[in-house]
Amino acid sequence: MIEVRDLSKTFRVHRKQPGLVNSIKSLFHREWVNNTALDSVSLSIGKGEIVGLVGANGAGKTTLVKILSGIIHPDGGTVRVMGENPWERKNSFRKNIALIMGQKAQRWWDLPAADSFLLLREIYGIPKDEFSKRLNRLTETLDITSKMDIQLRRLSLGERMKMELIAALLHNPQVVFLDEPTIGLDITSQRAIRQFIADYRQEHEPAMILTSHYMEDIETLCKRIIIIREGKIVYDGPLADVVEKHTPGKIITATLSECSLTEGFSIPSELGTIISTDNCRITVQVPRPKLTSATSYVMEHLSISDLSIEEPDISTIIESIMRGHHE
Amino acid sequence: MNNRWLGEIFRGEIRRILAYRADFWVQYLVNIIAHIGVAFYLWKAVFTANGVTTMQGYSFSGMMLYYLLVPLLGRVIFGSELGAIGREIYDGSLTRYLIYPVNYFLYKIMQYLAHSLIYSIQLVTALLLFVVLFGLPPEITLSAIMILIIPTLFAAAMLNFAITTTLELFAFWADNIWSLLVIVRFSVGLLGGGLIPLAFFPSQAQEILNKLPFVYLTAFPADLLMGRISLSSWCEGMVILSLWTAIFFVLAYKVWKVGIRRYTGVGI
Repeated sequence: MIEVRDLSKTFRVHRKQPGLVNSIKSLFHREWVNNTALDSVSLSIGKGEIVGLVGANGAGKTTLVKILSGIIHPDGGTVRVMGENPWERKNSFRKNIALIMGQKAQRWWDLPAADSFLLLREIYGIPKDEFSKRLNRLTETLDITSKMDIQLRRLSLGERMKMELIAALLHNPQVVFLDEPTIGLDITSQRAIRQFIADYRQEHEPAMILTSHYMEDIETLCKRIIIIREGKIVYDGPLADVVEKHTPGKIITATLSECSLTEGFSIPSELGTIISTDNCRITVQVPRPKLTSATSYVMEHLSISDLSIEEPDISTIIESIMRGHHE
Repeated sequence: MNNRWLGEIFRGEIRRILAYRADFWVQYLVNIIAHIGVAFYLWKAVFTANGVTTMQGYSFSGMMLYYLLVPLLGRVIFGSELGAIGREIYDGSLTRYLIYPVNYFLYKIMQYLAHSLIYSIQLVTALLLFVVLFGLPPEITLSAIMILIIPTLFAAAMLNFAITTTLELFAFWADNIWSLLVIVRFSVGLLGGGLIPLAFFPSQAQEILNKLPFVYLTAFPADLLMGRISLSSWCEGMVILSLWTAIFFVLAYKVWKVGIRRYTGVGI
């Protein structure tokens, strides 16, 4: 559904030093800098797949989404979405995509949601009975039927986001771009929206790209993630493998029966490394194959009251990849 | 291609305008009072000082009608708010139109015409009120030709849409295009007969002005309603008007084609 090869994009922005004098200077002479937003990005996403696009602010996530949806013009490389070049913005292309941007309401601010849905029905040419069937389903699932005739700008952030989702999905798009769909929402709304997206995928099998700063969004919805850093893809693969590939092993945490016992304790380097010790607790990182021997070594050499073996926290790992601490 | 969405945008925009009733009527009244108020005292003084009852074929009440017509027709012709397209480019809300499977220009024209329609209703009510209160000015006789105001206003609205859109699209390059728009609006007022009726310009100047687009946005429709335009000069005027409209639509399209490549959708 989505094929991208060697995509690049550079933005030219002018730079102005702060202060009045520099403002006046910039009237006559402007300093320009090139910002590389995307640097030969290649990826491929199939039908029914939800891919989590993760990266720090300014890493190029939104630029990628904007190019895939035909809003901005790429500088180089090829992009095909449903076999078409998004930049041409043909109606056949636009009838089958949706873009949801959480940071900004895109709909008609002064109209009640019901009115803007009517407008969308005409824009997408959805047959009347089909339209009311879909609309009823969507509003019921999101539990927002009672807010349909209130001006959009008078709704709460969460309600507005739900309306955005309905508006974006009324025409059953085959390719969906979700940019921060849960930003700024409370836990309940976040959960409702996640569930809703999952249901939509189940039913319609679109190709979806989801960007989010909330790891929970990614963990519940995406099997595959793409991590992007400074315009380059640094990881593309199953979410589950991130942990395996990018962490040397599991974490053993032992709580000691007597607090002073950590003094002088060491572990052979082939079995693992001590990450931290405080008086009553010791944390050891252990390579996967050595898990059993390391555990018995700890149990033999220390008197412990509790022991836990865990995977390192996934969001910590992804964050460290995003920031470039894992090569 | 199904074009019913055009009607829905038109209706949606009308609902939107009517959602702000207070603003709607305040703008209307302020606009008219300001215009007529200044004109009344200025021309009262001019007429008295010269000791005449008509000037260039305008009686005093005819002059007042002209100054009522100029802002009212102006509102119909200038349609939706100035600078909206430029702002949408600047703040990134253009993005949503790029996503929808519709033509951006058609979309904007429908919104524009919705405003024009609402302002036409204001125009008619204000004219009726004027006639009821002050009667028809002596130099005006109602004639069938005045019905041509409908196609004239439509064409003039399209011309203004094409001109302002062309300029507003420069927002792809410049962050602020407001000064450009103000220059144009001012030129229309001065060179289009909005400040002083065209009849007061020297005849050579009038001839040149009649070839430029500005007159067709102000004096041309006003003079038509005041019975100062013959059928043949109306036809001639409509040809010039249409030519300018075509030129500016082509320009707008070219500017769009180049400018949209620079669009980055900042802000969203």
